[in-house]
Amino acid sequence: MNRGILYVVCMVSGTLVACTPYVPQELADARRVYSDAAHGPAMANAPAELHKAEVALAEAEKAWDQDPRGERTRDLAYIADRKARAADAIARGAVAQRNIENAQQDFNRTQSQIIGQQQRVIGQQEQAITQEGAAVNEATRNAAAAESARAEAEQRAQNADERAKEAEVKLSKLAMVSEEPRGMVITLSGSVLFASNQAVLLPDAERRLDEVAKALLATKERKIVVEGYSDARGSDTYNLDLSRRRAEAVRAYLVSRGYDPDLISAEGMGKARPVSNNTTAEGRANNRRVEIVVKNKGD
Amino acid sequence: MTKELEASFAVIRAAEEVGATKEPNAALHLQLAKEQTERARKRFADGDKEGAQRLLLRAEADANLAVALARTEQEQKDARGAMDRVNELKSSNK
Repeated sequence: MNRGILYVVCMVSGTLVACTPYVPQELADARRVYSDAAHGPAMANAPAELHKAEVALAEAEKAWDQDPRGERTRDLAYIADRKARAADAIARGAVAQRNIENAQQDFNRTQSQIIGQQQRVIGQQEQAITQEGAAVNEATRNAAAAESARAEAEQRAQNADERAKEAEVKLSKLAMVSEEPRGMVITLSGSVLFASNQAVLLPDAERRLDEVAKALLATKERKIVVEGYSDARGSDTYNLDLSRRRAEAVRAYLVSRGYDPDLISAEGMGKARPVSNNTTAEGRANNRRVEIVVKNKGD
Repeated sequence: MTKELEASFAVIRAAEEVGATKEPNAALHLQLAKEQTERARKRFADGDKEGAQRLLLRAEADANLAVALARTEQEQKDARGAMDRVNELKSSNK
């Protein structure tokens, strides 16, 4: 019986519930499964399979319309049910396939990031090693430079000592030279340097002082004190003044020959510290003198 | 009839080849397909050609569903494995 006619009959009789058309279980299942598939991932991921299920269901519905209880209706509904399930399964498979691809991309991306991080760490370590190497090289260079400077300073000191010894040898030929606690003392006779009661250097004295100056310039980093001495004759005031002026004259001459004026000073000592007896002419001559005191290193 | 029967067997073989026997849901439909194929053969022998053909269509639909279910199950396993590998890689780098 056609469903339209059935509805009319039921409406006339007023027993709609009793006249509800029979639906085989297979068709009910097929409708539900198809509806689920159509609202699930099949619509987007397996549209062709879903369409086959839809066609199959339409065919089942048509058969049901003609023969609700017929075996053909149940078979066609059964087939529609399976096609709808297959559409759903294929769609879920497509989703899974896409998840595999996404996971693979994620894996590759993560792996690249890890490799990148590891390369950065390796780069930083290499840079640190390079910097450390550079620091070591620099330290080595600095140590070598320090050693070179030390050797140079040692050489300079050695040279200075040698020059000082050479100067001492030279000076010993020009004047009396002695080593005392206050330093090396070069004693020049007053009669060789100055005329009697004068504080102006004699021409011959200048020649001799030139040689002394040359020798002293070899040790020009040392402090020098020029000390003038007199004999015991005359007043102390006069002797102090004369000995001071004579010491000044010698200092001025040495400065004029290139000795650092800041390192050289002059003092008048008068009759102090006589080296001979003032009662004899020879002794007094010895006491009239100029002493050039070359201070010890570091004084 | 022979042609439909062969088509049904072909899909059943395909289902077996993709591992439908190892996945419970797919195995069920594969079994249904085989049973319906057998029933179709008897029906045909009884002279119900039309009923036999519909049974073969049912069998083919079940076999096709078994193929889809078996493939999907494998793909879902592969997807879980791939995601596990990603998570393992990420956690090993923390």
